[in-house]
Amino acid sequence: MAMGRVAAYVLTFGRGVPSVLPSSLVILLSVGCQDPNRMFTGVWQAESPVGSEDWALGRPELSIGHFGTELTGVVRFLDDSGFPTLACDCAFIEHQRLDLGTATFLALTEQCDGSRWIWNLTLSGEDDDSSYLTGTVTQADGTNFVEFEARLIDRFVPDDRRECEPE
Amino acid sequence: MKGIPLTALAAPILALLAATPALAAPPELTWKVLQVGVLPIVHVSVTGEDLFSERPETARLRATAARWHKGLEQVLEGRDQVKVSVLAELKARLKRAGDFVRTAELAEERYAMGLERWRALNAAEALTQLDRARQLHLEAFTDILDPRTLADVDLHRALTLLDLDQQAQAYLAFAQMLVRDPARRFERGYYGAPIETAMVNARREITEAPDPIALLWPTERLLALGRRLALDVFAVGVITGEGASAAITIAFFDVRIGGFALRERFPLSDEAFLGDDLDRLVSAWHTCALEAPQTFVRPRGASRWFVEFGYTHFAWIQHRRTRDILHGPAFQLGVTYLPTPGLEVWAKTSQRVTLTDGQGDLLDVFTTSHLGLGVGLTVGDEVWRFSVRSGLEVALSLAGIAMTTDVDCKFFGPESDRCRTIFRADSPAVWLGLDFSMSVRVAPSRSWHLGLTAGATSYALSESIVGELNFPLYGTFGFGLPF
Repeated sequence: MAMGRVAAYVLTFGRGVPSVLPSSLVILLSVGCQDPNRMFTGVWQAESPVGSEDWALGRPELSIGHFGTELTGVVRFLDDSGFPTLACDCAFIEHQRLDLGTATFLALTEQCDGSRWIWNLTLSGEDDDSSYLTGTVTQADGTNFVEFEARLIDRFVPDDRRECEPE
Repeated sequence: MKGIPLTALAAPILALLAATPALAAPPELTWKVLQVGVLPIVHVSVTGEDLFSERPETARLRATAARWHKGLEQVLEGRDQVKVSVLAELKARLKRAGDFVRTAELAEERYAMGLERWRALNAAEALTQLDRARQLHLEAFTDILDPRTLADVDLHRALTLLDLDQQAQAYLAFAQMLVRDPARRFERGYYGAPIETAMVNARREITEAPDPIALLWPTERLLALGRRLALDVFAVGVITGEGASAAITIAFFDVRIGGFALRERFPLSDEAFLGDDLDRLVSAWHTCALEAPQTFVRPRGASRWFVEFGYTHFAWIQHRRTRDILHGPAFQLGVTYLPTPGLEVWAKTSQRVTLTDGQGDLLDVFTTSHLGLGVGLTVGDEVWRFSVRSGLEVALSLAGIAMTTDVDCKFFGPESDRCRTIFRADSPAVWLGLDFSMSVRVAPSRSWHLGLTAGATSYALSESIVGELNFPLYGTFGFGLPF
């Protein structure tokens, strides 16, 4: 199946492909047979909470939909028991920039309290079992900065992970 | 492809190439072997005296008939492309060709019933049974397998017809009896003077007939026998006259044309030239009877009908709702007919699958069925052919089509509040368009060809999608066969 996706990708031609194709082939070699146009898609869960004494909101879970050079999704914050935190438990992921060549994306989330966070993450790993998103999460006003790491727990994003009704 | 060795694929391809005759190879010239059946040469005496006892002249001419018959067989056997079947062989082949025993038994039953009615002085019913017996005997080819049995039936038909006062029909029945069994003898006075007179007159009518051969071997009988035994030609003969006026007529009946091809009459006054006469006659016939191979006379005509199976890859050139070109594979089946050398009529059908693009702007794969019909101009020979085609195409879409560049629509779904713009084409939908293409066909063999086609379609006649997704450009690689 994965090979079929690769073949479909290789056959793809059109605008943007000449520049995307070589870098994608590099990604193919480094990340395995995952379709480069969907490589960020999945549910990613952080092992530890994001935040500091001032703004700890819980352990982030990113449900990402990646389509070519764009992505979207929902970030949800879970407590230590795996349940959503009571306040500002989710936010929509706004696409900012995505580089298939370096497997890096920059996204923005706006919390219900009005704070805006910038997610600068890079994909690593040979296959789904060892895929990680690593990078930094920074408050847009520069007041907070934290290292971030999330593990892929599922390539498929269920419908309930795509829902978010920020209060 | 995994698990299939390359040699397993190469073997059938090589076998196909080896089995198909190359265009450059000369056609094999096989001349048809003529199947010739030689039927007995018959002597019908001119005098009624032979009905009661054989005269020396009759015996001499019967022996002469046998010599000419043997000579005819030998001369024919000496010719190339001729397979001679003598009478015994014809009988054996007839017995192998069908089960005539049951039919002959039915004929015998009818004959016995006819005799019974005739002896009971019921001539009308007797004639009905005897006529049926004769018909069944002819169906069983008794005139070849056992002509004397058929002659018995004709004799009693003639006697019955005389009882019914049908003189002309009775003469004909007597004549049919005599041609089947010319050596038949009767005890003088057994049937009475009127009947003996009728038989003598019938014999005279045979010998005085303008064409005794036609009387002996009617066209329909030779055709039936020839078709049953797959024979091409019959050699037949008859001796007429006596003494210095005795002559033999030999004729060749050609089943292929349904008539006599050659007929010649030789006086029997000097048999020293028998061999020369036969040789000259058979040479004349042989020259015209041989069938040259059709490929030798005229090369096999080029096929006008072609069927082609092919893989097609296509791409939608106009795709306003997606950033990447949409494309996909297809399977195509086409038929081409060439009514004249420069014109072709074509029809094709294909099943196309449009794949999602890398950006995912096409939300899901969709399949369309296409049917096209048109004409083309074509130039080339049997090996290379170039065509320019145009026609109408109808596409049927059974799946809904949804396209968007809004990433939120792709992830959260078209019903989500975050989805701002999405294009949808409902299904089922029918698109009508114009198709233009060019094709090159190369035929390494008369048996198959390879084809390359490139073309485009414009769905200008369908408003529903024409502005969003249009102008599929396609290329087809096909394998074709003439039929």
